[in-house]
Amino acid sequence: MERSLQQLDTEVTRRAADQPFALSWEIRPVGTGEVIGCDSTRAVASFSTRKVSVLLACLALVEAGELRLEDHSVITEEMKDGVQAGIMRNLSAGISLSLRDSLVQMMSTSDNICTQLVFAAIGSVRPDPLQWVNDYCAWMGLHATLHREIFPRTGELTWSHSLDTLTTTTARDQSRLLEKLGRGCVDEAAAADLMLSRGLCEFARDAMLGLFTPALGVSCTEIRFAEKNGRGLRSLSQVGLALSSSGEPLAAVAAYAENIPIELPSGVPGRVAAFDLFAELGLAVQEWSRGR
Amino acid sequence: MVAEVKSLSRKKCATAYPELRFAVGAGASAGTLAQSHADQPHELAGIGKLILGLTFAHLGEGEEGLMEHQVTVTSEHRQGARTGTLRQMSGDLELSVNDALNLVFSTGDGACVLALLELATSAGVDLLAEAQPVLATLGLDAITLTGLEQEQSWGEGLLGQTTASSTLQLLHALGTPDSAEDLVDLGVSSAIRTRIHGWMSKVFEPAGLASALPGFGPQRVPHQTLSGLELTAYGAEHGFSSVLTLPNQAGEWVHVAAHLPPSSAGVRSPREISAVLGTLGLAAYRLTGD
Repeated sequence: MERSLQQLDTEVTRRAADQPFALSWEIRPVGTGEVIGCDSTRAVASFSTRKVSVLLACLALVEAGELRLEDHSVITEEMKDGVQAGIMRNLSAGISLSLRDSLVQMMSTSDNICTQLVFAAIGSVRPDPLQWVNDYCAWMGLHATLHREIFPRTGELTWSHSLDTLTTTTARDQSRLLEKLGRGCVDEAAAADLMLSRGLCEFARDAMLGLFTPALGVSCTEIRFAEKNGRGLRSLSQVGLALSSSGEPLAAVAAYAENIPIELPSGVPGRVAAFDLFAELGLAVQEWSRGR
Repeated sequence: MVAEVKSLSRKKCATAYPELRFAVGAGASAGTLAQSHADQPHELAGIGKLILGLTFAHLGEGEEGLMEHQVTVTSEHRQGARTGTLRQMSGDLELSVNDALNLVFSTGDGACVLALLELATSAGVDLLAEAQPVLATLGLDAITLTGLEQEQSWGEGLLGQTTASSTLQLLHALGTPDSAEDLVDLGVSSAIRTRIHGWMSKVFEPAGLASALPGFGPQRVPHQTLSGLELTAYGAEHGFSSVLTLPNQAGEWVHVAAHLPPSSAGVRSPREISAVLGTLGLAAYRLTGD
């Protein structure tokens, strides 16, 4: 392992140890075969980080010519039921969105009405859209990831909820998928491994660059992150693809903070500490990128 | 290290962040419970959208059906937008005026602002001229409007200056979501108040004063706020204004208006902006339990 990667490993491990919650994480430099991490095979609730795989599984059907990004769907009042994430739930029913825009909103604001539209699009060409996404994950080597719902009804969960009915994954699975995406953005053969074109990989990357609430890249000035957040009840997660200022994919990052206390002894909400840690993780990756 | 949210009292916020301008008040009276540099003028820098929404809501009272009128967000509007999520989308999008303003309040959507400004222009409405008497009726003489966003939008619509005290006075004038009294004598009818509080209660992942309020997952303590400029380059040049309204144990509401100037020493990244404003918001929340 190169020295700067060892330093990154040490730095992230040190910062994670300071926190009053558990962190499972993994970082994979793109295209080198190297990997660092801690507890990265621990099963965790994915929450909205699962949408990276939903996005790619849907785009695989676009690449196959079975779906078109220009296809439109209409938001109905019924789709708002149980939705806690996104912006469309606060707007009038009847808005028409293209599949392209539904995918973009699913990633940008984690909109779960748009997630329903995406699954409906997949379901228009596959008998069981959830199974299609699960099959796609299996083909891509995400053997610890299980999609169990179209979207989680987080408003009905308690802090100590079980994982039984939720989509679960691992930091390893998510970093593996993002590392493949990074390679797919610069190499057609790698894109084909994802059942995509290079252009569709770039579309996926760009959709993740538009995240409304960036965390890994929020304090970075020299690199950017194409990222996706996950918000659970006791967990927060952030996965992303670090990019150089010129857009070169540098590393895949996946971090899952678990059992975050609602409040810290100082009186500050626990979730704030998790966001601080994600920002520090992004800065540590930026520091590593300088030494490559 | 990134800046961290702290658990401080309101007074210590003023000491810890000497450049922060803020005013805190409670209940229906216009008095302040705490303040720091509250009468120093600053750019609207995040709360222009509140006056834009107030102006449209007033126009809607005089023109039945205005808020349900459809506006088209076009590629031209998206190209001019520097904030919000619609700029990432494609094709034309049809929205009601009410929904467009909802997105302006909740995500600072610049594409919606440009579509709304175009709608007003095409209808022969001078929004600047319409907004001035609304503010004058409320006695907000310290708020001066200087123009409208043009070609580019940071989700504000209206440009100008205010003070933390005046913004607090505006929040008082808007009342609270559950206040029974009709403030029509002050220029704000209950219908307008209900509409604005509806928008202010749906802000998506706020990064300002409301960013560190207690809560977990999708659950937060009840509050009203605005989507601000915390994540923007515009804010880095013009400062960061934020507002917050919280219920207290007496059934009244605590209002907070704050502005972090662009020159604030040592505060640079969006995370640091959120840490400063979030610390004050958390201090105000502690006040609701006093």
